[in-house]
Amino acid sequence: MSETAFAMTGGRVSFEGKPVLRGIDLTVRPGEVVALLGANGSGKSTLVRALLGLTPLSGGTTLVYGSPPARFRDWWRIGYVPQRLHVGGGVPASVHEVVASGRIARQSRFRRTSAADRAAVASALEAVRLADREGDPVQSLSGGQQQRVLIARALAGEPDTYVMDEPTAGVDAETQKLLADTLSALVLDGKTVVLVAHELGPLEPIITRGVVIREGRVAHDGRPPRPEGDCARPGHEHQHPHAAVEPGAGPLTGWQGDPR
Amino acid sequence: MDWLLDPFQVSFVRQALWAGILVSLICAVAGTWVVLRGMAFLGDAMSHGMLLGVALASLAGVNVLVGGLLSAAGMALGVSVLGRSPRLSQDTGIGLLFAGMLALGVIVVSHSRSFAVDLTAFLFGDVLAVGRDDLAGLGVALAVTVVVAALGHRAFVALAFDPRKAHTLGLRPGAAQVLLVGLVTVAIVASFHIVGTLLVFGLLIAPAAAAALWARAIPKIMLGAALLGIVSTVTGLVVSWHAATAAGATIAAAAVALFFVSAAAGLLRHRLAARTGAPS
Repeated sequence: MSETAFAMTGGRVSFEGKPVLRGIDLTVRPGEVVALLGANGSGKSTLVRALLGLTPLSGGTTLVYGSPPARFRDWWRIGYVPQRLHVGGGVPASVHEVVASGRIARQSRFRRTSAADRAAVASALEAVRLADREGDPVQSLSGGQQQRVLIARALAGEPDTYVMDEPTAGVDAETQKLLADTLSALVLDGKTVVLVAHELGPLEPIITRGVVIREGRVAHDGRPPRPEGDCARPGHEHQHPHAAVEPGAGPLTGWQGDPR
Repeated sequence: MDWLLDPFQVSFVRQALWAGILVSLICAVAGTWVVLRGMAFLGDAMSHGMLLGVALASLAGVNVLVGGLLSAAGMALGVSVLGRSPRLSQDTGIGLLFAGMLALGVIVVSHSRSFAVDLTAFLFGDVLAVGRDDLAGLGVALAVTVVVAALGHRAFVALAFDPRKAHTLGLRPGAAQVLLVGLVTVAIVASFHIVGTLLVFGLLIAPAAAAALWARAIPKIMLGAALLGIVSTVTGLVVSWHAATAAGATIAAAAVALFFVSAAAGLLRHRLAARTGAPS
């Protein structure tokens, strides 16, 4: 029986009376690498939070591996990488401590840190090439390095599904390349990935499915657009290669939010 | 060394010392979280807003601890409800409840015309009037505090780092937050009728803040806070004995003074390290 990682039907979310998600139907199956694309304000980050149960739905249903998020128990199967490091006030935290906290879902309450925990943390730090900064306070790292710490935290938990919110936003090229390599390895391992992205960049070849969100609805769900020629330059407006005669009329036109 | 040991020849000062030590330990554990999570204002509001519950309990002939507990819990609940409103910052919500409950408490006390609740005792306590029963109660509160802090430690740390991730780790950030506030409530309620709300608050904040300047691991901060709290208690009792000042307030002043000494020492250490470091 193949389990669906995420299944949302008719998902609606409103903030202060304003609708943000207006009826989303989305199913993510094991092994898929889904990119949620859309302009700023399209609702893609809200969608991810709703899939995880971080934001409650005001309509419709959503399931995580067959259970509503509030009743889901196997959180170790999900590795969430939020958009940026939450600067947690005065709590001092080393890189090691933050990455180790990714193991919590696998540990019982009266945990002793096991050899498996230590090995997972060490290999996660190796994968993001931060093993040498293990003991440093996480606030002393650059933005890109902090993002790598968040990724390592998810890796340490050894989940089945990774959910990443704009993992390449504002990070250096080295981190982007590292992320692409890490994701390729995960995909080869059969992991499921859902990532929110404004722009795919080096991640394009890995994505199997592009879901475009526009104004709170699914505008396109299928193969992601392949950039060609000029369009391969980052930041360039993407258009569907088989669009209608008039450029700008295809289903993916304007997904980056250019006003019509 | 007579000047140091003289005060403690007297039994009620010795009892006060024990009370201060127990309160310091309780406040070290709860206070570390208060400082790290930025809950000082909430802690202050809870300790003073309790007056309403204490006054009402006293009028009704019920144990003041119960009244204190209910009103502290009520304030925490009120803050949480007000915090859901997107138009009101948590800071403002706390301020509103603080002012409201304290005002109502004073009204109840002044209107009742009985001196069942002494406002001065409420604020400043009477650490020199501690009895054996009080010490036993503090011992129980300490045990509860240590157990809750130990069991909730991982959840509190994950909550402090990143509440969003805490949820997807299978923790319940909402429940952890309630437990944390509960921990602070126990510390305040258990201690206030012995040492007064001023001293509880002082011992909640100053030792942990001073320890956080030096230690980085949370258990070490708690240990440092416990030691500093005990030193403040001893210092405060010795000084108040010789200078004939109010004992509770002197302990609180000593705790804050120790913070500034600690901060100055830290600053000095940085300057020295910079000077002996590599030339720019």
